[in-house]
Amino acid sequence: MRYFYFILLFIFVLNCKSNNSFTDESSKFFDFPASEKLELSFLNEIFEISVDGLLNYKDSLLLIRNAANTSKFHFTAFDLNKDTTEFDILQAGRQDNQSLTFLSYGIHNDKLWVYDIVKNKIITSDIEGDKTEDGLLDKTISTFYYGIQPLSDTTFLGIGDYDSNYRAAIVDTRTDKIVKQLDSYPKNMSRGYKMAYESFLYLKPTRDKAVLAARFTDRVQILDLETENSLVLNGPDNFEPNVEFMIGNDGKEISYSNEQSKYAFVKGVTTNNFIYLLYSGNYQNGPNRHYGKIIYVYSWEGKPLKKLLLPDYILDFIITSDDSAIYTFNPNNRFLEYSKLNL
Amino acid sequence: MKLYIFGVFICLIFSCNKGDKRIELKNLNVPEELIVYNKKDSLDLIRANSEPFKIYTSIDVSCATCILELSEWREFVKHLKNSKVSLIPICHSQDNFEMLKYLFENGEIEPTGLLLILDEKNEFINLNKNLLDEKKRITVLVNSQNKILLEGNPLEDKNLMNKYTTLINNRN
Repeated sequence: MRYFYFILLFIFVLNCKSNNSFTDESSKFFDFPASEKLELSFLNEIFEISVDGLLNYKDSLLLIRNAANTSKFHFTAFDLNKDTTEFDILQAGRQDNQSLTFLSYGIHNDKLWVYDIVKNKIITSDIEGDKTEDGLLDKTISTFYYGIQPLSDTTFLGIGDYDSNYRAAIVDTRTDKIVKQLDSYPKNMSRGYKMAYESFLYLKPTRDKAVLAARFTDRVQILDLETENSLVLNGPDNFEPNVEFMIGNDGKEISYSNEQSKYAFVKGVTTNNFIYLLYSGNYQNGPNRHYGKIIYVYSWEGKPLKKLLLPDYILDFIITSDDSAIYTFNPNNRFLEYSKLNL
Repeated sequence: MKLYIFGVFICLIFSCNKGDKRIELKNLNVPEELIVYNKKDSLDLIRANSEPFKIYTSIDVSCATCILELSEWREFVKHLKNSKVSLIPICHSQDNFEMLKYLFENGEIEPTGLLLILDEKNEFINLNKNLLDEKKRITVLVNSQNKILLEGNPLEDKNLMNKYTTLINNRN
């Protein structure tokens, strides 16, 4: 009889594991220990540019990403000290050294880089006045990655290859081969489900850690690129992706957002001390799904530290390298604003 | 009283005239200034225009995913039993056709059997705004006189796909 009960208990425990849940081992939290309301000061009104993103260049230039097909150049440099737009960077087009369209972009060794998803290669551009000799190789990358971040001149970290069993890969651009794979997906996780956890990728400036901030669930994952350890945080709202599934034109399962999909993280910035993630919390329907009014701040050890509460929605932001100031862009009034930070 | 009856009689005669039962087919307005980008590898535009059936579809070729439709359209036309149908994709762009030209020059768009018509001034949509679907695109099946036989994108609607196929395959 004892054995019978033991078998029953064993079966019960097995059945408790949900087949539909793909949540990995994570820390759940329900609020940040601190919050601060930021008062923003007006810096400038950006009316001549359709702003789609911001980059910080040496705490002196704000590189504004121009919305697709609105300018002959992809970026405009704004001098934070002079408070004026100064020059354009990276021509739009199909010629060499021009770019057609890209998802990931950033600064690496003082050069602007973009990952062109039509040309399938990284394209770089000098930022005027700072010519550098070395740079990222512009070799063809045969695998599509939703997000990439250069680790060196010849390697990058890529995420979003949903045909892979791993969440992240380090690729050598000289050979176009994967040299390391990190963080395997749970077994039996379909391609569509992997895509439901689509994330933005950011690197710590020291390039030894990366953070993945999910688009449709409040999931943050910190990857240690040296030890290959992974830390996952869920919160504070603790919601799973609400998406639909279908078979795409290429016969592969994909997932896509619908009216019930809630947007989580929309933009992010990292410094050596902190991770800053702009949080939306808005649903597909409505004008503000790509914008946020709250910035969540985490440590690189995976601790939720603080919420920064903004007076209005912003499209993107930059943080100075010493964490002392924030610059934001408000898409509704087109104001560039700033505030000091005390973290 | 006689006048009253006479008036009713006249009204009845006019109301009995049901007129011609045929539905007037709408006209598709095709711009005059269209550029055939891939002249060497394409069907001649004049020959394409003289086919009994033509499918006109507007495609935003500055949109990376929209360009994929060109391959889908080619497959659709290939599988029609009646070969007397031309596919005429009218390409408009917000990037001066840079993406389309890059893909074509690098062999990533197979040119065979596909016309690439560039509508630099976006006139096709401007002249046919009443035909725009909810995604702001135009897809129509027309006859050789550019009279519209069917509206809507069959690649996205199975019922419409059946209507297109039936109409094209069954007409002599």
